[in-house]
Amino acid sequence: MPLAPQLYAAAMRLTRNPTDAEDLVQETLLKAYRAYGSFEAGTNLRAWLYRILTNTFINNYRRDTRRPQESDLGDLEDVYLYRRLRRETSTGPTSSAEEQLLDGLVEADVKDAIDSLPESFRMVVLLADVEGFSYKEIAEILDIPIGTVMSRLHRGRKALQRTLWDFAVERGLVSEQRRESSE
Amino acid sequence: MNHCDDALHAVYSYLDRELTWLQSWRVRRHLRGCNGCEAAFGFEEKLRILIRTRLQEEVPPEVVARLRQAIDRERGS
Repeated sequence: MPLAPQLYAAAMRLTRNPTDAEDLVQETLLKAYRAYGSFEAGTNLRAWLYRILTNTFINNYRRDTRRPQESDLGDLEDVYLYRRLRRETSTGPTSSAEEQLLDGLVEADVKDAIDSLPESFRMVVLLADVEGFSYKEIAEILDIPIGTVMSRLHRGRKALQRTLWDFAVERGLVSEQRRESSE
Repeated sequence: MNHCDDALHAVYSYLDRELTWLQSWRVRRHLRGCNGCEAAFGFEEKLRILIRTRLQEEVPPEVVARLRQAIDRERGS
């Protein structure tokens, strides 16, 4: 079971609850063990296991009721966070302003920002940015077209950046003077 | 690729290594001549590393042991 720790970490990110994460991985591993006959040798074992993990999560653990919907994402510009930072500074973002912003965003900020995404977008962003799967692998794991993977990934990342920007402003990582100059 | 908007629009596909060789080469050529886009790409790359780092999870050894036991029970049954 060399992938069990990876699957548990992924399950923690999906459920954000250690008991649910352990149950989810146990169920995933048992399903995988029983279905191993249907696994085609030479194909991607890791993607196959994540497919079982995400399907099980969607069917049994998803907390969808209070999640924002796709329509809440809006239409944001590319490199959103960088552009906001640039706009708040007259000379363009210095490396120290960048560092102040990035170093100041703590674990809870990033987790809360990821959690603020609609579920189908959150899963795609996690599979790409944390698990490191390719677009094709994500399409197979979630059983959606590659074009849908790309559009959810692009919109999800930009929405994530908008939330991170809001957190940075709330936490004073962007100075008062810079904020006023943009308003 | 001559325009910054085109380059910035390709930033995710580029960093995801999902562009063709030719498309990547065009992005790199633009970045070599454009400090603004080069800085934006650098920032995106740093942000991605930050997100991955902040989302790492501790995996307690006792959890892995329990998962292993569950599989062993299934094997034995």
